[in-house]
Amino acid sequence: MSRSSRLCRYVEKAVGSSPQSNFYTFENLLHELDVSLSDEEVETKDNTRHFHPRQRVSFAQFKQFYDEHYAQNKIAALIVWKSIRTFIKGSIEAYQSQSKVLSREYFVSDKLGRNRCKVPLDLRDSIYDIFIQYQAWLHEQRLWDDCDRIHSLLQRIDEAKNTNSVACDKVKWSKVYVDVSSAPS
Amino acid sequence: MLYLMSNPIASLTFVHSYTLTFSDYHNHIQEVQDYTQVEILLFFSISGVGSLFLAGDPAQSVEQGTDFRFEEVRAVGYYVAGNRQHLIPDKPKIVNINFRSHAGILNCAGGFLDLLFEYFPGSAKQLKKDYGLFKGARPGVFHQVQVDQLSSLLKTSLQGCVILTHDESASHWRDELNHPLVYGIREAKGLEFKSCIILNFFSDIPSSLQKPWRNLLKDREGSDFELKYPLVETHLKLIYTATTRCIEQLFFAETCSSIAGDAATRWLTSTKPSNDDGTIHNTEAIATHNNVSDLDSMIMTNDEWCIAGIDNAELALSPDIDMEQSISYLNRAIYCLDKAQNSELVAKANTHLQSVQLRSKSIIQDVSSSSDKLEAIEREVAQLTRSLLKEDLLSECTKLLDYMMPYLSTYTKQELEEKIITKIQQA
Repeated sequence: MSRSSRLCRYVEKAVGSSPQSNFYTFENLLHELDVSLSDEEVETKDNTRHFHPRQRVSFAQFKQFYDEHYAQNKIAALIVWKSIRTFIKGSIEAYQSQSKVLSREYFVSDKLGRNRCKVPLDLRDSIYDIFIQYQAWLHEQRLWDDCDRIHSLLQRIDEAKNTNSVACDKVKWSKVYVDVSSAPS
Repeated sequence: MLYLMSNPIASLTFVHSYTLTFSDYHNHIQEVQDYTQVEILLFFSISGVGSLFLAGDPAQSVEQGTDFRFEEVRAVGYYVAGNRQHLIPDKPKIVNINFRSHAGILNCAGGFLDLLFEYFPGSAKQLKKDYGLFKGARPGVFHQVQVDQLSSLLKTSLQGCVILTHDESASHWRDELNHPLVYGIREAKGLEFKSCIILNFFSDIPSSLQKPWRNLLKDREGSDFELKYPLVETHLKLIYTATTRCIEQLFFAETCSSIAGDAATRWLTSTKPSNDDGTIHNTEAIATHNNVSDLDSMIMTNDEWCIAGIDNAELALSPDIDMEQSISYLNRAIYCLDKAQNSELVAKANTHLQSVQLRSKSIIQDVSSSSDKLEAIEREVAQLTRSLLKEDLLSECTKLLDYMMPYLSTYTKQELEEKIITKIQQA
């Protein structure tokens, strides 16, 4: 599996296809998971939220938002994006928390470790303020980012496992080849 | 199982060669450096803990906003494994043999890695540099090459060559060059190509980062560079990724002058490759400057022209060829070495050629015409002998003296035997 269809074909050619192997793009994997889980879910549930590609926020859209709202801010947009994507929403600690985001207290403290999060401590409070406004913007505009989608899938997989649903077996992949070679954002 | 490895096919080959490992780990995740922890958690969730084989290279992490360390994969493993400690992923194993590119390309890629580790020390775990299995030609640089020149080259001598650009520019260049093999660097990640041109990487850098890039290449920036210009880290990882896509022949092409592009050309053609401890291991720059005013010069890198020139010069020394063939080889050698802009080797091949041309003349005819002519030839041979010795062309020097011997006095013969021929034979 690869984010690039070209790479998918390349690896398939190099490794050789077999009835036991399938070659997917990363996007297709997420879609397959989504479909497998949706078959079993009750439609009224909130977790059937649709992640339409047009509403996806990548770094390019985030930067546009950032430049509009924080043109004078000296913190680079990429630092803020990295803080949100890697730590505030994308870290394992974020997933473990009830709200699926790191709390301000956790992020501004030294708990992430200096080797792991290189964002200076004195900038973190301001970054968290921007994150709060970004989340509000996502909500207002009905937008989503990659972390939202992954959180949703993880939550649904957990629920499927807990209910012993057939979807649980469907989402068990026996052979996965993953590679990231994303399209330009 | 965690592996630090840069080539998907190589890592698959590597995995297959360790069948036990492969059978233990059903799911193979490549380029893991581009995933956040929650995405990695998703892979654990769908494949089950203990059955993942993860490989990646942090220096090729080009997904914007993803700050990756292998330690974070293990942290996810701890979370998933819970109290089943035997399922926690092992510490990463490191593979730094590069099965794809030769040393000429890897030295250049190493130069970009040095910049990455110096200015963005936390950007990727600093590992020993990859080393190639073979030596090879250094990349060539086309500075201010015209677009129609590139287009002509791609239609003729460089057919099949892949163009790598910033992803946003790929479709523009595909149309402009009328060449289907144009890839964005992110798009090309994981792929490999025999011959590549990295096009306008530096001039297409945003204008706000042109001067910071120049300062970086001139080593003028300070420790706050990482915070002031975080996007440069992504650029460095992109150019490293682009460079390491190439198997054999690599060019950097800039179609216009730019602050970063001009600085990069100077940096590439003057920076010496260094070892892991920072010491210089080679006195030659990591890339060479191609002559863009001559289309023929651009079909190979300077090193490749040099190799072709030396090959021809060596063939001219073959014992089983006649003078005419020898002259033909030497003319080809001079042509190639001239394209390589290597004036020293051009001079050497020219001296060799003059000697062979002189030997190819029929001396009998000249001698019978007058003794003055013989003296003139003797003088010419003496000058050429001196030049051949200076250029270390000892074998040709012996042949030239043998050619002249029958027409020399006994005294001159003895002197030559004693002072030159014997010494050459001993050398």
